Amino acid sequence: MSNNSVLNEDVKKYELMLIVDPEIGLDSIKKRLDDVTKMITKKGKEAKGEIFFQDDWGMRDLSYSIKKRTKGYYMVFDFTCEPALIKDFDRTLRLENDVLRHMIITLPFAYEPKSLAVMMEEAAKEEALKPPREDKKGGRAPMRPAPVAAPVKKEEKAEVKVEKKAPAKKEKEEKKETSMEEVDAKLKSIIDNPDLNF
Amino acid sequence: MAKNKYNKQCPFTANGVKYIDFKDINLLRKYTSQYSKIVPRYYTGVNLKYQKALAVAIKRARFMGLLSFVRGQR
Repeated sequence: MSNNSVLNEDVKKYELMLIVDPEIGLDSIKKRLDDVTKMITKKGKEAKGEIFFQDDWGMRDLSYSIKKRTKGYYMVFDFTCEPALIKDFDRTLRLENDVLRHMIITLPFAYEPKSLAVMMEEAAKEEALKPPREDKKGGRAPMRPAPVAAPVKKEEKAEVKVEKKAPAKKEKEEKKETSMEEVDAKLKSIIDNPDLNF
Repeated sequence: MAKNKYNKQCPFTANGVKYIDFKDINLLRKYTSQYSKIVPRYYTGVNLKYQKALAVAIKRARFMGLLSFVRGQR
């Protein structure tokens, strides 16, 4: 930190991705995210960060369980700030119990932010562009559409089951209720699944 | 001798990619096997420079729960 010019060059682009615990409820998740934006943009003693892009990925399934959670609320912040501040950010996030995991990386200067929706669209376009490959590879290509098709079948099956059960077993009302709850839970999980929307 | 099995061109060199984003899961999935391992570049034809960047991106994505470390179901 000998020159002012050096100081200016020190302002780097960073990217923060964090996973918030979904168990605390949507409102508190939003609060936590607000806290994080404040943390980045707040005016410190000398410097403050500036968020130039942020992307809300929403609820996603984790590829493996983290702190016994199978889902997480994802958020991405791209910002510029003094390098010295990164340590503090990292520390405060690490001490935050509601943040399942976080990562701050340095971005190259040429980085252009892309939202998740854009990336998914591009991937869908690419898949549409090469139909002959799907035929050759057989089972490989349809991997994407398959999970969409499967739950729909499940839904139909579940409905059929309920209809069959209802007239047949009048005595076991309690069991019926539990089964209805299970079906509801299943349907909810299917509806909530963010992967199906794409 | 051909440098790689399928004589593929490196897709990153061809497009002049500057940075491989760890958030681009669809791209990264192409370079992981069904057991979620990073595919060697003699299969994919990726240049060494980009293979290294890919490895970093995949490892970051794994850490953030976007890709699995082992035996991904997707």
